[in-house]
Amino acid sequence: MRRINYLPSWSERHIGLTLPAVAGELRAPFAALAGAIALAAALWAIQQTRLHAAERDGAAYAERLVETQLDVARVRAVEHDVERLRALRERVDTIRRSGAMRANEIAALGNRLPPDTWLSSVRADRGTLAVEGHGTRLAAVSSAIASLAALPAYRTARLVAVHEDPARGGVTYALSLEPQP
Amino acid sequence: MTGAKLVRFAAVAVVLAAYVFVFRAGEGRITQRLDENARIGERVRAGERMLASRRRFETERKRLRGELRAVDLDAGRSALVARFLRDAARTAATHHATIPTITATNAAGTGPGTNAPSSASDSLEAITLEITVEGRYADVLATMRALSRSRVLAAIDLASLARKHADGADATLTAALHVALERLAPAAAVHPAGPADVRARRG
Repeated sequence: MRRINYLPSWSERHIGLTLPAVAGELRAPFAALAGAIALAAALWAIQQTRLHAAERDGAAYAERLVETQLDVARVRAVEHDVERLRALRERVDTIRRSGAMRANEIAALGNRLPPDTWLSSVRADRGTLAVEGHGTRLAAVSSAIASLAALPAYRTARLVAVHEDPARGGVTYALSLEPQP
Repeated sequence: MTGAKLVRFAAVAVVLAAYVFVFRAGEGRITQRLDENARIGERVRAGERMLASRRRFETERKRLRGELRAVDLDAGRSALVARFLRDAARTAATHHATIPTITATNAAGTGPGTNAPSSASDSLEAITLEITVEGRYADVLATMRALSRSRVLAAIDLASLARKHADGADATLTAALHVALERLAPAAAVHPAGPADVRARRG
């Protein structure tokens, strides 16, 4: 028995719209199409929401960046000033130590000499020291060279000359101390 | 039957189009935006870290300025040399040494006795002198040590050290010293220790 529904449809009753009749075999495909469209719409809405949220966050960050920019530039200027002053202080410290360093080098030189050798003069030329002195005998000069070569500030102690000194007795010597590179 | 297939095909096409044009394209834009946010966020955090260290920098700047006040860096050339001569005489007298000669040396192209800063970052300039110190060994060394510790910033280098009398009649030594009196170069001396303040305008 075939049943016929004469009542108006839901859309006719509530929104006054008469939808075209859809054949039974097309209902499932149309439902799938409607579902696909609904899915696409939902997806679009979600993506738009996320995008707007990201743009809002970006705008807030940018605003914060602009707000702090001036203060950051001031602090950066102070930082540069501190770096300049640090470099200057370091240089000042080095200069204030220069006299003590040179005096200590000379003192180390004198302290390293064996007891039977003496210094007569020291001359500096671009870090190289020309040392002249007097020794009681030749062997003492040999000890002096070995001792001075062991000084940490110098690479080598090179003999320039040694000769007898009949006037004072013993020998006079001339050495050259090469600085460390 | 053909109509049903067509509608099914349209549904599949809508899903595929949604994936390609809505999901993939949207993800691309969102990722790009998030990357941009991360970059700005990093700059904001770096700025905040910088702001947090402001007090530390200001304290350090104050301390460094205080330390640098121990030396005369911004005195004029004449005043600096005069002050050094006075200090050197006092130092020599304290250590029982004498300073028989002081000579200003000439540096080519920069005026008598003045060495220009060696580089742009090098803010000090030097007034060079040759000084002779005479005295006993320990006194000469003590004078050398004290000269570089005076209020005038003086770099000391030894040129020569020898007995005053070659025959060894007495123990007096003569030391020839290169002395460089350092002061802030005029360009740097405009604001020798003043705050490098920034009055930037927003906009």
